[in-house]
Amino acid sequence: MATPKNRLPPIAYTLEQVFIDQERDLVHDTIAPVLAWVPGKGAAKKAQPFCFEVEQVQRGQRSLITIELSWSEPALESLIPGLRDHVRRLQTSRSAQREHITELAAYGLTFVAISVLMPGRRAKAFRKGSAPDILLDIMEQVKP
Amino acid sequence: MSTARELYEVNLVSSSKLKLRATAYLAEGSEAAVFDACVLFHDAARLERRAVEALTLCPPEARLAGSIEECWCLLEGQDPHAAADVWSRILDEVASVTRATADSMLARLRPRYDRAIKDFVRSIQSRPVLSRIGYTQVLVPSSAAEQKSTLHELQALLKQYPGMPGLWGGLSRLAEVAGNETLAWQAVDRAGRLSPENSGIRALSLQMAAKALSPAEADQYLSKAFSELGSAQAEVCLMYAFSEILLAERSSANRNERWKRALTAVEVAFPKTHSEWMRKNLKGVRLYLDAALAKRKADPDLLYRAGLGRLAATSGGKPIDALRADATARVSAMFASGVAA
Repeated sequence: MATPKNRLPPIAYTLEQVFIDQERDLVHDTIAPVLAWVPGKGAAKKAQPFCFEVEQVQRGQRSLITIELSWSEPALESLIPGLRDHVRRLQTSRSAQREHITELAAYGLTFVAISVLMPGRRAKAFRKGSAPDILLDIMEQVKP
Repeated sequence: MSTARELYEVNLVSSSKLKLRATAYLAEGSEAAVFDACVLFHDAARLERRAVEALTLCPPEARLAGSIEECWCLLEGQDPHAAADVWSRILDEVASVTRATADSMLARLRPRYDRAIKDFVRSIQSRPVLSRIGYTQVLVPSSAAEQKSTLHELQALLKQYPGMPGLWGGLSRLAEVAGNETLAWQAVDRAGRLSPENSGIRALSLQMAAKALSPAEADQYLSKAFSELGSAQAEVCLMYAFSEILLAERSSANRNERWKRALTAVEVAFPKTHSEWMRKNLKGVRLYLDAALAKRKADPDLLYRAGLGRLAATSGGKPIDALRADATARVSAMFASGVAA
C-alpha cells in the first residue's frame, strides 16, 4: 500500500535565484524554454507565480510540496541578453522539434526543485540514456 | 596536474553542458540549428568516452553507463552508424555486470536504439540506388544518371540523418564530380565538423578548400593546416601538398613558396606512411616538385620513376593530375571504409 502523502506548506522561489544556486552553464539553456512553456496558453498566461508540485521521498516518508515560481523578466534579461526574443521564437516556432522545449523546461524546473528541496546541493551532470538523470555527485558513480 | 578522477568529472560536466546546448538547438528547429545540435551531440559522445578512458580502474557499471550515454548521444546526434559501433561495445560490456543490472541500465536505450536502427534501415531500403550500391562503399557511381540519382537520394537522406559524416562525405564527392565545388566544400566541411578526428575527411577538406574557397580564404585554411602537419596523418600531408600545387597552378603569386610548403608536407608524410600506394604517390609528387622548384619541365616518365607504371599506362593527362586523382580516390575509399568500419 502506498504511503500517505504529507502536504507541506508552499515555498516561493524566484527563477533568477537558480543562477546562484546551480551551475550557471547548465541553467543557462533552460531558462528560455521554461518561460516559453510554463505560462501555458490559458487566460492567466502571464499570471505569476507558476505553481508546480514536487513529490519528495525521504526515509520512506512521501511529501507533496508546492513550489511557487515567479520571475522578473528584466532581471533574467540582464542575465541572458536576448532572452525575450528567444522566448518569442520558441513560442511561435512551428518546427517539428517542439518537444525539446518541454524537455528543456523540465530540466529547468528540476534545477529549481533541487535548489528548493536540497539547499546547497548542485546538479553537476546529467544523463539521457540511463538513470539517474541528474548527478549531484559524479564521483559516487566510480567508487571502487 | 589533474588526476584521472578529476578528468573523469571534467569530461562528464562538459558533456552535460554540450547536451543541454544541443537540445536547445534542437528546440530552435531550423536546419542549421539541428545540424549544430548534431555536432554538439557528437562532441558530447567523444567526451563521454574520454571520461571513461581517463580512469585506469573503472568499475564495469560506470564503463557501461558511459557507453550507454555515448550511444544515446549519437542517436540524438542522428548518426545511427556510429551509435551501432558503440552498441557493439555495449554488448561486450554487459558481460561484466549482472543480468539484472544490465537489463535495468539498458531499459531506456534498448528500445530507442532498436527503433532508430529499424527506421534507418527502412530509410535506406526506400531509396533504390543507395540500397543497391550501399552508400558507404560506392561514393561515385560510374554513370552520370546514377550519380544524379545518388546525389538526390543522399540529399534526401541527409534531411533525416544530418549527423552522419559518411553521408556528407559522399555528398561532397558526388558534388565535386558534378562540378558543384561550393556544395562539395560545404558538405566536406560539415563532415569534418561532425568527425574532426577523421583524417580522411580532413585530407579531402584541404583539397576542396583549395578548389572552392576564395584565394584568401583558402590560404587561411591551408596555413592552419600547415602549422598542424607535424601531428597530422600521412594522407593529410599528401592532400595538403596537392592543395598547394593546385593553388600554384591557378595563380603565379607566391608559386615558389607554395611548392616549397608542398615539398615540406611531402617530406613530413614519408616517415608516417605505411602503405605502398602512398609511398609511390609521395615519390611522384616529390619528383614533380623538385622539377618545379628547379624550373625544369616535369619528367614525362615521372609516374614510371615513382613506381606507378600502371597509372602511367592508363592516364593520358599530366602526371600530377593522375597522381592527384589517384590519391583523391584512394583517400575517399579509406574514409568510406573508415566510416563503414
